[in-house]
Amino acid sequence: MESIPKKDRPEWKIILNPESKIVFNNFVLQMKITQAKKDIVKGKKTMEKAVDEIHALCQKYALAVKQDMEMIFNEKN
Amino acid sequence: MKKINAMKSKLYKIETVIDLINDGQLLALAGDEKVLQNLPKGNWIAGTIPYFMGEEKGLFSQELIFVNQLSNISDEFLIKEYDVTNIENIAEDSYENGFTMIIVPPFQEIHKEFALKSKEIEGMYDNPVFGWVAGMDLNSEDVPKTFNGITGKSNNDKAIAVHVKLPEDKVARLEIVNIFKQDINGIEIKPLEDGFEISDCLVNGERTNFAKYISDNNIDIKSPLTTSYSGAIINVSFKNIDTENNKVDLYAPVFKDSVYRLSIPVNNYAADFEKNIPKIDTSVEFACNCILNYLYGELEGKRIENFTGPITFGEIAYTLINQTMVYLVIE
Repeated sequence: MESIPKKDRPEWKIILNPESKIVFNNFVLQMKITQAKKDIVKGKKTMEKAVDEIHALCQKYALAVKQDMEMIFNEKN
Repeated sequence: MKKINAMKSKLYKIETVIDLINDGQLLALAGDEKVLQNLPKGNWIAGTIPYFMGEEKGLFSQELIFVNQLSNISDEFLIKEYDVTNIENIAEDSYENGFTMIIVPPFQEIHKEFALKSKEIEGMYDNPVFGWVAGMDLNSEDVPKTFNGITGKSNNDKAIAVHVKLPEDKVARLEIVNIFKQDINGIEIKPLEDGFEISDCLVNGERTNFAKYISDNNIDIKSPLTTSYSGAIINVSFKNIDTENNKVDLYAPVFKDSVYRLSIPVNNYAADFEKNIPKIDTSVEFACNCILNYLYGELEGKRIENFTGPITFGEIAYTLINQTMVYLVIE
């Protein structure tokens, strides 16, 4: 996977669903997604804002999250 | 500024550290207060600790100083002190692309505030925020402190941080190595409040006094409580089981919106760390490990290959964690 999938892919909302039990490999992704799910539950963040932030984080750490992106989006080059 | 690129993050004698400071280098230091207080003003931050993982072995020293030479990475930085009034700005103060290293004094308001609130700070995960909790010789009455090299002053109630800017083609990545595994077949613990202690909690859904439960079941408190953050196992270490007051004291907070489990005891800490450290293609710019791992794992005199740094009273990887190795790489 050369680039991070677009924000309109439904998988972003699936991984941010507070009920989701998906586990990840990259540490900052693990921390950020956990906090984002808690913020969504508390009403401190909208799903759209959380998707924006996770997408930006994955773009920054594209290499480090490669394995997680392939797992979530089921895509490999 | 003259760059001394060949120098590594390692233990140095004070004379070498003074030369580096006088050369204008940006340094993050760890050492005993007795040696840190003799350093000249300059571009450095420090915290007190006399325990280290050196290149050859784990050791106690009140003469050597562990040096992370940040000038090798960037010339653009900001050194800033934090207390409860401004810690919420820590992510906002960082550069658009860079990292923040913070040293926090233990058992103070800033320690508690950071531990309880850091995960919720806006922008906290945009750049690595990492570091450690200062400590002291466990056989002394010394007070853990942080040092601001710019002013030359020390504090026992303020955190010190350095924000470092990275060039656009570089990115800093923070990782942890946790040798403890969750006991997924064991009890499920749900705190009723956020904080550094647990009185009553839910154990497998039933309201239970946790101190009594641990005492009655002879649970080994050398192994930490754990919670999973989407796969990252985060440790919270036991400080004390207070059966008189029916409470369990902890070295980091638990949160009522998280579920905790006990962990499986580790037999050989040094071997398990080496086994769990991933292959890293780039150099490790910073690492620290926990004093409890050092003590329980008897790491004094033992070596953990390629990982050197202070042995700390708490590790910071976006939030306060325990019994975990934290490291930073730049790619």
